Amino acid sequence: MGERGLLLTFGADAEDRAAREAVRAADAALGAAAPGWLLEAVPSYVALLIVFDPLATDHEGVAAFIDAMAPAGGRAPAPKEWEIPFCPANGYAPDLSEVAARTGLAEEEVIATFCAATFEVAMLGFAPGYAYLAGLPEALRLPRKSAPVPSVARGSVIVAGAQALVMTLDLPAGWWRIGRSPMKLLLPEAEGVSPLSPGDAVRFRAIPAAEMPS
Amino acid sequence: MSGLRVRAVGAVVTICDEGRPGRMRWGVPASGPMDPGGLAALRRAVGPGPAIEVSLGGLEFAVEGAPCTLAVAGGGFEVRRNGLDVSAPCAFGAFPGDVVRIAPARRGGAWAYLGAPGGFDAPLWQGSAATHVSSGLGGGVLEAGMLLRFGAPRIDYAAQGPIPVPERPAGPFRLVLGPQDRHFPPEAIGTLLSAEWRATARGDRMGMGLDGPPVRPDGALSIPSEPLVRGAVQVNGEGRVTVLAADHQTAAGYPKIAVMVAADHGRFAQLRPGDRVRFRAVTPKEGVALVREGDHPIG
Repeated sequence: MGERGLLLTFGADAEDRAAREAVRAADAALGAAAPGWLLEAVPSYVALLIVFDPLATDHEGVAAFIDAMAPAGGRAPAPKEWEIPFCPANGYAPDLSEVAARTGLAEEEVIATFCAATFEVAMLGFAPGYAYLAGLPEALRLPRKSAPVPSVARGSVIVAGAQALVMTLDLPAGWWRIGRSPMKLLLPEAEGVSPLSPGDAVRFRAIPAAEMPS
Repeated sequence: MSGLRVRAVGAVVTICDEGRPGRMRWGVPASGPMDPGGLAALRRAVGPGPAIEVSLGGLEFAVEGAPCTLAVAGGGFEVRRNGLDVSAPCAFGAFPGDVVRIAPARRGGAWAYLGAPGGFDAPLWQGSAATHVSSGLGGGVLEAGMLLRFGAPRIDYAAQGPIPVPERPAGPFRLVLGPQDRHFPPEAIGTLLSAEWRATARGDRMGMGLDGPPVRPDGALSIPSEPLVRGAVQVNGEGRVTVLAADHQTAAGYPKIAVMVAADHGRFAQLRPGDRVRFRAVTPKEGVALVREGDHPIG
């Protein structure tokens, strides 16, 4: 990818859990080996981008290093578990009634189904701290809206396709808003920007509006 | 309190430094200058510290509180101090009460860099004052009325005068094909490399759309969101081409037919709407060789 990048692909389907695990294993192995030419590695659903210093190596050198590394096998660090509180009350969930209508569920069933699911952080990307959460239950899957909403408030819990995401910034989004979380998922001064890492498990817990910061 | 009081400012004039590379795994692009060579030229005059990236919208300010050397480098901009042209790119003394206006000159260029010895006071985010425009994180976007405080104002006589700017190569912008070029028929690759493209006003710090013939992939592609880099040539469902820039999103599912070599990023960013663009393919090896020949610093 350009003169300083190599994109390793482990599959073609975002739903392919084994491919996601292979990406994380390669990322972990590369991070542990920490070759001097490594500028950064960027994991995603089925691909790992390796950005290297072209003064120190080249595409063939990186590919040879990866081939030599593979048999040893990388093991991703043990995933962490997170519980993200969110409020699905009026005012925080402008699309909840429409999600209920489109899925044929009652609003309470939408929230109960959502809170019963365990999500996996598939990747962070697009914008700072955006964590794509794989594992939205079948019953809640809807295509994204035909046009994005120009500004969706940070903290909004949004769903589309097989995914969920907690907005970290006020940005446009075409997914369905079913609540708002008070949890800080963008840590400006922390090491690493976000507390979440690919592979982590996430569950949501509904809280009443009284527990939301004013 | 001394600094620059903003009197008038166009869109997307921001605090800038070399950026925050190495954080794409958390969704954070490097940001930093649209034209790294322009900022590097400014550094040769006034050294490190947060600077200002001026867009085609221009900037006018009054100097307050203390005299300070100022420098302007980068694209074709005219700089007037109290109405008199100071012949940018250059460094010059500015004194309390002076009014300085930076506006696009007739000759080309889309981004200029304004700096002072010691830089300007600016909030850091993730170790850098570079502004990430869509979030507002980092130093931030300039607004009329605000005071940009000097970090350590001083007149630096040795720095004042013209800023030497190395000649830039002309000719086609160089692309390394891939990573999804295999999803495009040979005609599409041929179109990309032979057509005359036009820079457009559909450009900002995230990327620039080009006008030209459609470049269509084989069928509808469904690529799971995957990492992006600056310079990626992304093709949407209608075959329209966008080249990603400093504040690029870090992942997307559109196919990337090629990636522009970093050595050409600054020259590309300096295009104005309507400017002609041609591309030429280089091999990954040739891309690496360009870096090793010192055509462009890392980053």
